[in-house]
Formats: sequence, structure tokens, C-alpha cells
Amino acid sequence: MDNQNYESESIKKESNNKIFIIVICLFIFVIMVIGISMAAFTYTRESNNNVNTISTGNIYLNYAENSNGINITDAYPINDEAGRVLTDENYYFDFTVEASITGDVVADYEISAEKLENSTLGNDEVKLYLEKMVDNEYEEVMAPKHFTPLTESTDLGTMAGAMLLDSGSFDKSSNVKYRLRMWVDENTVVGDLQKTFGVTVSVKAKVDLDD
Amino acid sequence: MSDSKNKSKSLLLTIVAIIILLIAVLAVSYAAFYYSKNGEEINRVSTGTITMSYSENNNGIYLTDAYPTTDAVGMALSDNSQYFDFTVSASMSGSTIVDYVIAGSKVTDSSTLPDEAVKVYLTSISSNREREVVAPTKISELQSTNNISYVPNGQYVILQDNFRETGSRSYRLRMWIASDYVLPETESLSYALRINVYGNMSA
Repeated sequence: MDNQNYESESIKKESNNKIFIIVICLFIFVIMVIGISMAAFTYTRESNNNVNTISTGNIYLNYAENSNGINITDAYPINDEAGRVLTDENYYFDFTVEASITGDVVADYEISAEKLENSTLGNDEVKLYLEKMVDNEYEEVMAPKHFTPLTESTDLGTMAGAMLLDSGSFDKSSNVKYRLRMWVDENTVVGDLQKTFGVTVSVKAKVDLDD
Repeated sequence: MSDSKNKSKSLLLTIVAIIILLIAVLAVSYAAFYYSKNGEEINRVSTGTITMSYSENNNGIYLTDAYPTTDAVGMALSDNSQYFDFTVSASMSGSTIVDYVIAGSKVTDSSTLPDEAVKVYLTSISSNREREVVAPTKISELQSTNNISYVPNGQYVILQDNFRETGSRSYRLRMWIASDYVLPETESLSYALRINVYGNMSA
């Protein structure tokens, strides 16, 4: 009887082991099948129309001198009325500020006159007058004014000592044509010594890229 | 103890790394593009020059024992002490106009004759020839300088003219007692006139 029970238990244990091994084999098989299917089945879709690209904006600024500089010799004091309409080629100076901009940026600029060191006329003995072209006609942008130097440099880089003539900004490609005139102030006393006053024009611009 | 030290060190390194990252981010966000160009053309204004001069070529008029004289006689006074020569010159560069005034300033301390009693006559001299510039005129009839901005008040305008180019002009002034003035019998009277020249550039 005992021998019968022992044999029965032994058979049962062997049967359980076989089942466990079969389950393990099945499990491995399933995993292998899934693995193979995953490897065999891939899905790909490529968009034909939507291309996501980044391209840089482009900023180009330029200052061009369009005529010879003012060159007035044997100048005598004149009033503003006469100074505003000086028409001889040597009596005015044309220049252009231009910008080529792509993208959403704003370029701020300043135009200034820098006094030559060898000038002997005083700042209040000359007048400067600036116009810009609007609809093919020159319009006043700075009324006749004595040379008035800045006491501090500006954020855009115009140095202290220079005279600010005009400022503006470009938010798209365009250009501004300017005309500068300069004459001896009517209250200047002319004597037997020749005096001179000279300036050069410069442009400073800044484009903030954090906007 | 050692673990605590290592932890502090790690924390410090982490904070420094975060700060560097923040600075980098901020620097990028404030980036700006600058443009600067200095012009080459020189714009220059040079003044012209003007000089004026006045010179007296002989002693002044000195008439003694003078009596009222007709214009014809007065205009022909030719003695050295009976006329006064002077020259006005201007030198200028470029194109401009220089106005000038020849004015007579009465020396009140030395003058006892009234302005109505004295006549002046001005001529210009060129190549030793005289040409009338101001006809015989009583001083009292001369225009006052009060309305001329660049001349002091209280003088008499003998001549107003201008230079349009560099030049030099010589003048001769004669002065006599008007023929219609009645001299007082008992006293000797006199009249002294100083000649001044004022110049000004035309506006």
C-alpha cells in the first residue's frame, strides 16, 4: 500500500515538472514569436509636404556718401534763410543710409557730425541744417542749429563730443537720403584771420536680437 | 564627516553650473548687432577775411581869422592847412560787401560856432584829380548817425558808401564858415570836427 502511494506521488511530481518545463518553453516561444514579429513589422511614414527648417534672418546696413563734401571758402556770415537754400554743389552734402532686412527685427540708427580737431571757428559760429528726402522732395529734419556736442555717448555708440543730427529706425528694407548744409552764423565776426570749421558724418546702428 | 564634505562640494558645483547656465542664457537673449561707419568726406567751411584801414595823410584843417566864405571860394581852398586828406582802404577775400560811413564828430570843448555856421565839402582824389562826393553842406543839415547800427550816436554822416572788392579811396575834406552866417563882432569863435570811419559787412 505504501509502495503504491509512493509510486503515485512520484508520478505526480514528474508530471508537474513536465508541465513547468512546457510552460517555460511556451513562454519562451511566445516571446520569440513576438520578438520576431516586432522585428518583421515596422511602420514608416514620411511627410512629403511639411519640411521643418530654420534659416537665419539677414540684416544689411550701409552708409553711402553721394556727393563731395561741403567746401565753402571765403565764407561770410549769412542768416538762416540764406543758409537753408544754399544750392551750389559745394555748399551741400548728400548721403544715404540704407537697410536690407529680412525677418522681424528693428534697426535703430543715429546720424552724427564729428568735428575736425583743426577747426578754428567756435561751435556757435557755424550752423548745421539737415534735410531728408520724402516723396522726392527734401524736408527739414533738423532746423538750423549751432554745433552742439553730446555730453555723453549714446547707447547706439555715438560718441560724446559729436553732434547728433538725426535718429530713426528701419523695420524693413528701405533707405533714407539726407542733405546736410553748413554755413557761418550771421553773428560771427569776421576779421583778418581765416577761420575754418570741418565735420565728417558718421552713422551708428544697433539691432536688438532679443525681441 | 567626509560624506558631508563631499555633499557640500557637489552642491557648490551644482550652483556654479546653474549660474553659468543662466549667464549663458541671458547673454544670448541680450545679443545685439551693431553697425558703425564713419564718413570720409570732410565738410568744411572757411571764412573769408576782411580788413579795413583809415589813414590821415596830413595835418587837419587849421583856419585862423576865418570869415564867412562863399561855396565857390570854399571849394577851392588849396592851402595845406585848409583841407584834410585821408584814405579809407578795405581788403577782402571772396565776394562780399563792406559798408562804411565817414562821420564827423564835433569836438564840443573846442567848438563855439554853431553847426549852422560851418560847411563841409568832400571830394575824392584819384590820379591827382578831385571829384565832388559831397556838395558844400552845413553841418546842421547832415544826417545824424543815430539810425546807423554800427556807428555811435551823436555824430554827423558825411558819406555812406561801400566796398565790393578790395580797394583804397582817398578823400579830401574842406571846411569853411558859411557865407550867410553873421559873425559876432567882439569875440573869436571856433569849430573843431574829428573825422571817423566805421565799416560793417553787409548782411
